[in-house]
Amino acid sequence: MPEFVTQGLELLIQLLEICGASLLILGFVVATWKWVHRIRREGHRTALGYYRQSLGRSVLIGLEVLVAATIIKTIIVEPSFEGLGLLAGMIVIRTILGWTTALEINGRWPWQKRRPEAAPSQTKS
Amino acid sequence: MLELNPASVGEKQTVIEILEYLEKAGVVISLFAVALIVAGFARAAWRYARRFADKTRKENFNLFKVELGDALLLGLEILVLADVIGTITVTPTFESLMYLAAIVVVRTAVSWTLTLEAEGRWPWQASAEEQDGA
Repeated sequence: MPEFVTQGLELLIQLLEICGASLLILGFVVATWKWVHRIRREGHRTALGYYRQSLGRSVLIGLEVLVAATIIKTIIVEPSFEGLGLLAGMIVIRTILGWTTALEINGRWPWQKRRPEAAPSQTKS
Repeated sequence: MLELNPASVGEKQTVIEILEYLEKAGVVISLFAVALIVAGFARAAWRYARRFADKTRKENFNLFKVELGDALLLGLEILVLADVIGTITVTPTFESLMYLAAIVVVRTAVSWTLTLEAEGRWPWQASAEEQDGA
């Protein structure tokens, strides 16, 4: 692969990583800000529920962008079993983290259909 | 982390610097999470002491446990968020990867068992509220 392609892809990967991290931090700041305001308006318990949901959503979005960066990295990784194994491990960890986060905010695994009886509580948020 | 080409070291440097700042923000977020856990613990203990006279001891203790669990869960969730940021700048070696995997497993297990204790169900089971259609 030509040198400039590798260089460009490296830069792209790092930009994606910056994007992912910024999304995480921004999501965290916004969620915390809203939480502090909600505590006074809607009480402690409601505010906590919303806060955890919006935190989970920021983690999901950030992870998705980071997984994209890791996938692009597989193109330019030095072809060795070690490098490949490390990337695979990173992708597995990020994917599993995404699943468990989705489980916590939705109450179901990503591959499960939405429960019909869960629908009314979904419309609240 | 990646080999640098002398021609583009300048812009690489800025990109890496930005990543380092973001990582520092991640550390600040973990500190915030620790502060939240401590504050949540103090709040739960305070409310436990205040309720002491009006509730039976068992009832009071259960409420205390649930409130502690809430604080821990919230702290854990924020710590996971901070960890994800930490994974970006870490030099990928098998050791750091295993470490990260272990952290994720431990936090997930803690979070699930805390949910189980506080709400009496696993996270993938429908809650009583949902089953009532509330």
